[in-house]
Amino acid sequence: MNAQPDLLIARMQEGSEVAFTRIYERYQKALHGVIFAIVKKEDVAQEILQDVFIKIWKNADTYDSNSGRFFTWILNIARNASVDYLRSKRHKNSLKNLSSDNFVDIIVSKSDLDEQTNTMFVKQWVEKLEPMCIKIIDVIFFKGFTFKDGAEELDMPSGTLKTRHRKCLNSLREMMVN
Amino acid sequence: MDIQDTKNSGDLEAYVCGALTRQENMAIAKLVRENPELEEEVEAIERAYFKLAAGIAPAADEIAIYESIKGYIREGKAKSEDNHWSQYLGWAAAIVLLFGTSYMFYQNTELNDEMISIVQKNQILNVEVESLDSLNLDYKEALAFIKKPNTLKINLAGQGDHGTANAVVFHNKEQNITYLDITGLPDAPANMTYQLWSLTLNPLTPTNLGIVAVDNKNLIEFTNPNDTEAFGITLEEAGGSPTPTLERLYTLGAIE
Repeated sequence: MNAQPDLLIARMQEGSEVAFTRIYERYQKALHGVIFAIVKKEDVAQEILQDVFIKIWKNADTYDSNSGRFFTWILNIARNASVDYLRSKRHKNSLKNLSSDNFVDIIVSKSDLDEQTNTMFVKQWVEKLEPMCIKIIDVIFFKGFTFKDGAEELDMPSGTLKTRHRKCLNSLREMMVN
Repeated sequence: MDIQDTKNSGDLEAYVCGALTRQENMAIAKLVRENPELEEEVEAIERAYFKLAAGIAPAADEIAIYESIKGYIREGKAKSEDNHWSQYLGWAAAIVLLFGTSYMFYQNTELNDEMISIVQKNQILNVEVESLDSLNLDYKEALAFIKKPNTLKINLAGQGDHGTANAVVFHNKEQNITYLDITGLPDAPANMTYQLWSLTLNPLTPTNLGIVAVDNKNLIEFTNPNDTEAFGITLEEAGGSPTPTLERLYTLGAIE
């Protein structure tokens, strides 16, 4: 993945279906991962992924590149849709319990690891991460907590959380480069 | 805060994750926009998260999912086109209403103007009717006067150079009233006026009955208490003359 595809985004905002297709091709897998990390059910994750892209299409014109990354914008849509699902289904995991398990559990539980090169790499990287980093990335990236809420959840000052979050991601980035 | 400090702060990671407050987010977005090095860092962070998330995604039939999304979009598009149509209809209705109202206002203004002009015309016509009524009354009166058995009709014949001129006088001795019909007289020149005289013949004594006023009436009433034996009309300077100018005697007629 390279720089943000501003032109594609603009074309999609103008109503180009072709541009939307490219956006889908580019981002669907990452959003699928985020949704799956929250709802933890494959069939549900697929349904939500569809809804999320329909929302992206319908609300494309509300995205303003001056106020943030497109990735962040669609990430929020995906998280909100997933959390809404959990709420609406009165899922047995309340929001408070969202962090009781994390994205690593999903990787480990997946049966078709060998077929998923990406997943295999991710598993290797994640296994090398500090346990606290996994928690931090899970809460801040996947579950979309603010630093304030995340700090409460992980019981550490929010300033500390912010710098540790950076260190954890740097470790991940180093592993990815190698 | 310099670039390295910004990178180390953890704000850029938070920015990508959407974990900043709205204000912080706007501030970082501005910094990133203005600084290519920070933008590069943001993209690297985004790439790392992107890989992580994609690596977690379960295997799925991407094309089937997309086809399903496309179905919704097309359906929604058709619906939204309907919405557009109804939106346009709303606008169209608004525009029609606007033009309609403007047109009505214009029409109303025009009608008001027209009404004012009609009222004015009506007033003018009323005045005309009044004057015609009064003229009619005058003629009725004159006719009644002429029809009286003791009213005499005297033809005044053209005199000298004015042989083609003529006038008719209706005189009632008992009522002391004389009517003059000037239809047969040529128009008086500018600054001149016709004057009617009552004459007694022996000796010839003219008495002024009055000047012939220039108006739309051809039948003019004079008070005439004289023992008139003949009538004469002369052309005089505007305003009339105390004695008739005999060189300009137009018509003359005696009571038989």
